Amino acid sequence: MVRKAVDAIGGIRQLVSEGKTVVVKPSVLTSDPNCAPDPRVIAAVAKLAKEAGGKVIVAESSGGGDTAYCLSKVGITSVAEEVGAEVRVLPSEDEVLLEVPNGQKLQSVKTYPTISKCDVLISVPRLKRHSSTTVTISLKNMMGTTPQSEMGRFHRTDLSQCIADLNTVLKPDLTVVDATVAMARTGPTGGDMIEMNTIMASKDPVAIDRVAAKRLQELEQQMGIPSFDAANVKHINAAAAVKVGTNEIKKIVIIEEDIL
Amino acid sequence: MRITRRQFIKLLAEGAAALSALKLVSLIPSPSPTAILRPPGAVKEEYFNRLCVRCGICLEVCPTKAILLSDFNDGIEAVDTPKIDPTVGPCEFFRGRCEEVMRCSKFCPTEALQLADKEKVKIGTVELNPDKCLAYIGKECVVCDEMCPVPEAITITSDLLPIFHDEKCVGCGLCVYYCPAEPKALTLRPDGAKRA
Repeated sequence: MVRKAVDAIGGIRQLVSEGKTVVVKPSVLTSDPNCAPDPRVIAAVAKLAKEAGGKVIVAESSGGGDTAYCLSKVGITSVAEEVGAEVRVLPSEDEVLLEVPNGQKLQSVKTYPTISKCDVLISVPRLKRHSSTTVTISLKNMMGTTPQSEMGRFHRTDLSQCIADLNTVLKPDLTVVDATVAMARTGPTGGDMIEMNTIMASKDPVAIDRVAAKRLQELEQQMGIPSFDAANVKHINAAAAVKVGTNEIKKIVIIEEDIL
Repeated sequence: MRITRRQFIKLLAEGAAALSALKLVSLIPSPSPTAILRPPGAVKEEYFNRLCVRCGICLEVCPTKAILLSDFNDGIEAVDTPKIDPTVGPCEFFRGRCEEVMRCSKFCPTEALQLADKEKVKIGTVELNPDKCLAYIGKECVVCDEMCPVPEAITITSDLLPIFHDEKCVGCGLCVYYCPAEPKALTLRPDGAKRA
C-alpha cells in the first residue's frame, strides 16, 4: 500500500537517490502503540528509501516518555533494524538552533543535527484526532523534531501558529499518513481505533493534512461520533497562510486507488 | 584478623537479634507522621520510616530520577527516606519503564517498598490551579490529558478545559512533569494515597 501511494505521486526516486541521508519521522508520542504509526508502515517507508539508495534513519523526540523506550515499546526499533535503518533518539543529541525567517510567533526553533542536516525528511504520522488542535497528522508530527523545552514553549505561546511556523523551516519532503487504523472521537491518546485501511502520500504536508482531516471528519460523521469541521482546523489553515502548502481542496488533486 | 568459630556464632546471633529488633520497631506506628509523596508500593506512612534503612537504592534504580531524599521539612523522622518529586521526573509505574515491574520496590532491601498491583496503587492526588493552567487562560493546551496513562482520569470539556477525576487518578505525576505552564499549574499532593 505504501509503495502504491508513493508511486502514485511520482515515486520515491524523485526524492531519494544513492547516498542521500533520509530521515523517517514517525509520530511516537508515548509508549502506547495506538498513539504511534503501525511499525509495518514505518518499515515499508524505510524499505522504499533504502531501495532508492538512501541511508535511512528513523528519528524521534517523543513528547510523552523516554524516546528510546517508546520507540522500542511500540515496535518501531525492531522493524527499523530489520530493514537496515538506523534508529536515532533525538534527545541524546546536542540541540541546534534554526532561524525561522517567516515565523509569525517563532523567530527561532531548536532541533537536532540529524534533522537539520538530512537530505530528505519523511513524515509518517498516524491519523488521529486531538482534543486541543482537533487533529494531529503531519504538520503537528514535526513537533517531535524539537526538544521537550520547545514543545512546552509552543503550548505557552500559540500552539497552532507555532506548528505552522515550525513547518516553514522543517517541512517534510514527503508525508505518508498511516490511516490503516485511525484514532477517532478524541486523541492523541485514548480515542477510538477505527479501521480505515488507507495509506495517503503527498509532498505537501498542508494538503495531506487537509484531506486526511476531511476523511476523518467523514468517518466520524458516518459513525455518528460528534465531529469537527476539517476546513476550520487552526494549525492547518495557519500553515497555509505562511505558505507551507495549500489547504484549498479544489487545488488538491486526489489520486485514489482501491487495492483491497 | 581471624575469627574463631565461637566469635562467628556470636556475631550471627547478634545480627539476628538486631534484625528482629528492627522488625519489632517497624511494627510500632510513628506518631502522626508528615504526609509525604512516597514511591509506588510504599507501606503506610506510620510504618515507612521504621522500615526504610535509608540505603538510597530506590533513588539509584529509578529510571526517571523522580525519587529524592526527604529532608527536615518532611519531619525529622523522615530525613533521608525516599520521596517522589514529579517536577524532577514522572513516576513511570503505570506506563513507561517501570510498567512491568516497579524497580524501586523490586530492589528495596526491606519491606518499606513492596511490589504491588499497579491498579491498586495511588501515589497522591493532582490539584489544578486554574489561574496558572494554560487551557484556563485561553491557550491551546491539553498536555496533561495527552500524557495521562489512565483512561478517563482526565477529561476535556467542550470548552477544551481539563477536568481531573481523583477516583481514577493514580498520582503518577506524568501530567505534572509535562505541564508546560510556568510556574506549573498542577501539583501532586500526598492526599488520598493508596499504600501497601
